[in-house]
Amino acid sequence: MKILRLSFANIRKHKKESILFLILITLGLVLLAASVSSVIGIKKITPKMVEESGCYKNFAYFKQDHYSDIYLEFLKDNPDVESFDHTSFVSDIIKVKSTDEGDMLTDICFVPESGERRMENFNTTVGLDSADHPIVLASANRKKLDVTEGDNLTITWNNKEFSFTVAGFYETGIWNYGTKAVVSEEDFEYLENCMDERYEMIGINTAEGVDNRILLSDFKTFAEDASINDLSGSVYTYTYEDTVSTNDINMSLLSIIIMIMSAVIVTAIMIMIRFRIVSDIREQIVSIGVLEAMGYTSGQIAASYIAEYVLIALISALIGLAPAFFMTKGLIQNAASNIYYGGPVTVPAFPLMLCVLAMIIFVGLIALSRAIAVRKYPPVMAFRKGIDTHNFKKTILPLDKTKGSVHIRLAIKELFQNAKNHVGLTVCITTCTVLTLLGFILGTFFASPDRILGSVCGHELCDIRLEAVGDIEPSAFASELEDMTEVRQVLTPAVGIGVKITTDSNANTSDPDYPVTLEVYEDYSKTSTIFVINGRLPEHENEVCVTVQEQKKLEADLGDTITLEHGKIKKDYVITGIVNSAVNPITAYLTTPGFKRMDPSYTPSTFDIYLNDGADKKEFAELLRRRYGKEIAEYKDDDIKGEALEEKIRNAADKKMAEAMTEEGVSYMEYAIRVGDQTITGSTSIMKIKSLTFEKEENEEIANMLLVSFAGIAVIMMLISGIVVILILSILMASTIRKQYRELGIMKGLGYTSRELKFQLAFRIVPLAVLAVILGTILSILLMGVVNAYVCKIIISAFSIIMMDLAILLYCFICAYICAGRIKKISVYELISE
Amino acid sequence: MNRILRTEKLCKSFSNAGLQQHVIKNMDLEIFEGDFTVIMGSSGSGKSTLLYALSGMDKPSLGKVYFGDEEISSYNNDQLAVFRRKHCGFVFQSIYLLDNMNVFDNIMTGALVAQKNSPELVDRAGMLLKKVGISEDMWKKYPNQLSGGECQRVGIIRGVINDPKILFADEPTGALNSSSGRDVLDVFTELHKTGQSVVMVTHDIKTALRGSRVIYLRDGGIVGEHRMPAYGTDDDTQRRESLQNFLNDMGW
Repeated sequence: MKILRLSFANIRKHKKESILFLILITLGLVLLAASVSSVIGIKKITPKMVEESGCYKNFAYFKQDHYSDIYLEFLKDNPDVESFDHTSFVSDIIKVKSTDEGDMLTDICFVPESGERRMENFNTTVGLDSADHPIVLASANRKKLDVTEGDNLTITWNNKEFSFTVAGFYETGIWNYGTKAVVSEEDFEYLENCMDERYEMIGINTAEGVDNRILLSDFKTFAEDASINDLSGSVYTYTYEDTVSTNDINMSLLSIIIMIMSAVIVTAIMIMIRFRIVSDIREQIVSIGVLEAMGYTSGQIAASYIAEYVLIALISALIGLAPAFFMTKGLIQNAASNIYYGGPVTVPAFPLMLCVLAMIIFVGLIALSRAIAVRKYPPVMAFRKGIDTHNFKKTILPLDKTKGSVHIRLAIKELFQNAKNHVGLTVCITTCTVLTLLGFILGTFFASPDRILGSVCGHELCDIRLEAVGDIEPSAFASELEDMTEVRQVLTPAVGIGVKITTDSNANTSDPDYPVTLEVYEDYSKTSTIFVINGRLPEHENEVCVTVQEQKKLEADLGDTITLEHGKIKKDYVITGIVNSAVNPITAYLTTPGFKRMDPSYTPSTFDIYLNDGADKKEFAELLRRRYGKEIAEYKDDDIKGEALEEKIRNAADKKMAEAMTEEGVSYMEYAIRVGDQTITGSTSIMKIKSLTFEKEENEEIANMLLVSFAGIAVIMMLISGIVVILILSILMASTIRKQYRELGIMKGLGYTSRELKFQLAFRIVPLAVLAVILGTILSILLMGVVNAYVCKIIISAFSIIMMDLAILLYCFICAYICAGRIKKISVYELISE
Repeated sequence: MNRILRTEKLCKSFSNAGLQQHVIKNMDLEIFEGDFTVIMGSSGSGKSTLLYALSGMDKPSLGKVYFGDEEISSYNNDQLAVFRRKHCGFVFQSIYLLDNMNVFDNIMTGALVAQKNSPELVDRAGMLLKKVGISEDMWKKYPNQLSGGECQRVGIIRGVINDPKILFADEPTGALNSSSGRDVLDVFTELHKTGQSVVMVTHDIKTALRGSRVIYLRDGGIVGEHRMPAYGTDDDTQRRESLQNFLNDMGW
């Protein structure tokens, strides 16, 4: 009780500093507890989603034209397989008509009701057999598409409209997550005929102890051997373990960033408590002597200091528990929404309480590490104020050599005299600088959706991608497009072609053939969003670039040779560059002649069109349609109608030709139909467009999501850093003023104004802040190097970093100057009359 | 004699636990240039309070304080600080040297706040230190390496380094032994002889003997004033008797 009384007296005496500590510890505690417990809570979401939805755990996707039921033979009677089933689905980026905000592009995966019922519980009582085209959406779409039961949902694909009535919503499992939309068998059949991206999905549950990775690899090999087609790039497998770990990493990103921030605050708490206890002991040394003389042991006095901080930490725990709980819940809910899980989330109470307890113990231990210094002062030494006032050091920066401002000289002199005490502050400002700069870099660089797309894609983004059909000469067609006034340039890439990579190092592993998709360009110097972080892009036919992720997986480096396999043809290529690609990590980059080594018959049919600034994409697409005909699917899907017989015949002929081109691979057709005396002729020369897609626009949703996330993270990082800096400087200044009360009072007596002394105190931190900002900038650049290497290419001008550094310095100085404001309260008269 | 400081109905009161304590009451006082004014009085008579009100260390509760024609009692704290650095020097009973600075830096801290550094300033500091018996080998020493008397002599040099119009001293020998006290008082006498105006608070007759004018306070008011005879012989019996008589009259 005696000890607590001393602690309360100390808290009462320094109310403001205690409140600042309370805020700092509460902030650290809330962020630490919320981030740690949310990471633990997030780990439970994917298993919960699987359990609640009853979906399969492992998956294999096949492009439908490469799928055969023969593959299922591998799974039948396989002792490692517990159960399996399969369904068809179609998936693409589709335009959804919204009544409020115009059209929006979104990824939708249509599944037939029977298929979804086979793949998971499909927890809905809604019937899908009514005549008004019912659709049951994954529950995440309620908010995303802003629709509710009974609403009309109109989607457009390839200029064709489909109308559905929203019949209900359901919680989905982990295959295709919240993009799923369940439709009736008839509607699915219709969609399947209209849309290109058709897949077969096989869900597999394995027996306990089975290595899913090996099983799926064996399954893939079986399918490849059984198939008459080359399955490269047409089959994808996902093990449950990979799904869980990928989900956990993606969902925990925000929590991990908050955890880093809490680590910064915990560091600040540690440094500030140690600093303040030292100041307290120095300031109260005579009182300590008196207490010791009265019979208090040094242990009791030290315990009073420890109890003071433990009390503050306890109050922080009481205040912070509720915000930590709600923040944890918010973080888990936010994470759950990333994988479209809309079910209830639970906050793990035990880790939350454990973090709170750990924080209290941590604060107590830090206080103990410094408070123990009381033992150094027996009563007599305490009365004599230790030997702190006994200075025998060499004089640093003698004042008789002063040139310029005496205030700056005094500030620097004091700084050097107590350099050891300022190490902690430098560490705090350095970490805050790193957070602020990273926040600033992320915030400013990703302020533009274009930049986000360019940085994270590892894929060349154009305004319009034209897939051509029929008998065209690629270079002549590209030149023709390039001659149009709206066009800046045209590239002829080959994309999405599946190949397998083999290296010597992975030949004997469980996954010897590593499947990747190719990006092929004639001339990479014309590309602008494929960034090489090491080496250079391919220039010759035997050169290849791989992504950072592939490089790691293949354990290959620049100059190494890898073998690519496409259509049973294997060729060796030398790695000339490493590309960063967060979105497309399994991509390899070849030149057109390089790809032709594996596929000599390859002719480009994709034309990436880059428009001049100001050119309207939609208008240009219309222009293309007028010049080269509408998309071929539209001819195919058109109803045969028309006023005159000739028109009807032409439409019917076009439809037939379109079917032949898309389904039979016919490249050119002509027709001549005699009707009475008249001969109606036509050819496929007017059908040059297979599809037109707006590459940038289609990726805008992802870009906007990332933009909001990056902006949020940047703001949080900068805000937390700002709060931490102002809190530590407040505590530092308050402690310094208390510690130097006498010196500051004397200087006031000598005629130094409060403003000059405030400047001196604030200026003391400037050299530290400069050092800290330099260190922080170096660390940030190193960290950005890691981000550049593994996530995305971030280009930021040195000028803006320097300006931000200056802003941080100015902020630190202004905060310190304001926090030193309590110097005004020092009364010379009180000092003298003590 | 030119009037350097003047008070008009000066009042200073302190509030303690809701009780008002009037320490200085309606005081009218004039301080003249070149005078060595000694303020005496019993404990609690308001000597130090008056000194700090006159020097701009503290603000009066009521009334006015003029320095020349300037009313300094209306100044804010920063203006008072500038006033002090320009016109005043201080010597304290507790000396108040800055422990973390050596002798020379202690003096320069006081000097550089009022004027820019120059070779003349450094020379003047050195000259004054030598004059009060602080030899060059002590200039780099820290206060804890000096005796009390040496510290106080450094304190005096810090007080006069800026050639102040007026030097305020609050019981400058109060913390010193008699020998050191005498040395310190000799410095004050020397300064006074060069024309330095001094206002000193003391309750020691030997210290008061060094003054040219003695003001006696009781209960926050001036109850007597005595002008001391000019310096004469070495033992200055006449001055001692004169002061003794005055103090006897005051009930000392």
